[in-house]
Amino acid sequence: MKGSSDKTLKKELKELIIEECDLDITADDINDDDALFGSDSPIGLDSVDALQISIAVQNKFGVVITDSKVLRRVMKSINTFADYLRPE
Amino acid sequence: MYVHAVSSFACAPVDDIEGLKADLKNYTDFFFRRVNKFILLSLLGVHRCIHKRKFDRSIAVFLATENGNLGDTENVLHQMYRQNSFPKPFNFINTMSNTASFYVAQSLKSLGRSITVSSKNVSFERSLELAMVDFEMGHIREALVGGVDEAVISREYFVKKYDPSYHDVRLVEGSSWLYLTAEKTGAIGEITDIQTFTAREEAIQWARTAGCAGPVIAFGILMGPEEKEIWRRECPSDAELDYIGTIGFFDTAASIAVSTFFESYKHACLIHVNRNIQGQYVVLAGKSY
Repeated sequence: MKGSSDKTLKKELKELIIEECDLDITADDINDDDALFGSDSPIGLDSVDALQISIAVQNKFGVVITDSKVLRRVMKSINTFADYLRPE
Repeated sequence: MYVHAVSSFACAPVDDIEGLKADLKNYTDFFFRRVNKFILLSLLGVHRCIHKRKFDRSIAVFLATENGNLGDTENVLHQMYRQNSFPKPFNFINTMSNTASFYVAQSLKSLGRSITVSSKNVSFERSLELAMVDFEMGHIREALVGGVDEAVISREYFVKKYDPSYHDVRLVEGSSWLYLTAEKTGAIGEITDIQTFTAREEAIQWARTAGCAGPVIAFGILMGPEEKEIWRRECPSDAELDYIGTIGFFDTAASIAVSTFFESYKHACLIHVNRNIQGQYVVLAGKSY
């Protein structure tokens, strides 16, 4: 099952982002296709948040993302992030 | 330097910072993200002090601390050496010494200077000295000067660093601030002077003349029982402010001695005597109206 079809994984990711980025929202406030970064994003994460999330993902899922271009593509939304962690 | 407002916050050691966050919301609507305990303590002390007051955007911030972001430094070392991981960016950034004063300045929308001061056991006194120079030189007209420290984790470390006679003292988280301006009108008191001495006799002689007759006297953590006895004998006072015994100790607790004095005593003089690890005496004199 692809990550974007796994509700549990996506909720886990949302909770990780909320905790690591110290956001004052709940997992339900993040839609699966919402942009995570930039001015168009409802939660408006920035580059320091991205670094924080990448370290947390490395510790939790054992997935290392070192290329910043890949990081930007992967962390576009919860769906793209989940698909990167579980492609199949 | 005239004192217009003070805050004296101290609490038992906390692991969960949510209580501090909730408390801070009582004083400001500003939303603080990525903050740790040390930063929250700093913000809480400042906003309690400045709450509902009008201040100039050029207000300066002097944050005194002995240990800085103690908890996050521990986290970063744990991540690097125990978990063999990269430190998490927020933890790492927050170990930088000036982070807390940046957050304070940002929350006040201050465009003035901000600095973090640390100076072996007399950090608060040194930060007041810096502010005093800036006031005298006309560089600043308003300042917030405070002492902030997390409770030290290890009592063994505490006893080793300080006087063992204080082994039963309560270790607390603390953040205590003074809002100072160059204007006497509306002030509740003033910091009259701070002097450093190598010899006790000189320090006592100065303290006798710096305060009014029968001042309130308070002693810092490195003033042991014998030393205090000598001072009590040689520099008679009307009252003793035992802030370490009554409030507890954090490493810049001298700040809470000063703010407690201004909160508790009217028309009185304060002599606060502290020592650094070189054995020098740092004597602070204040006056309440």
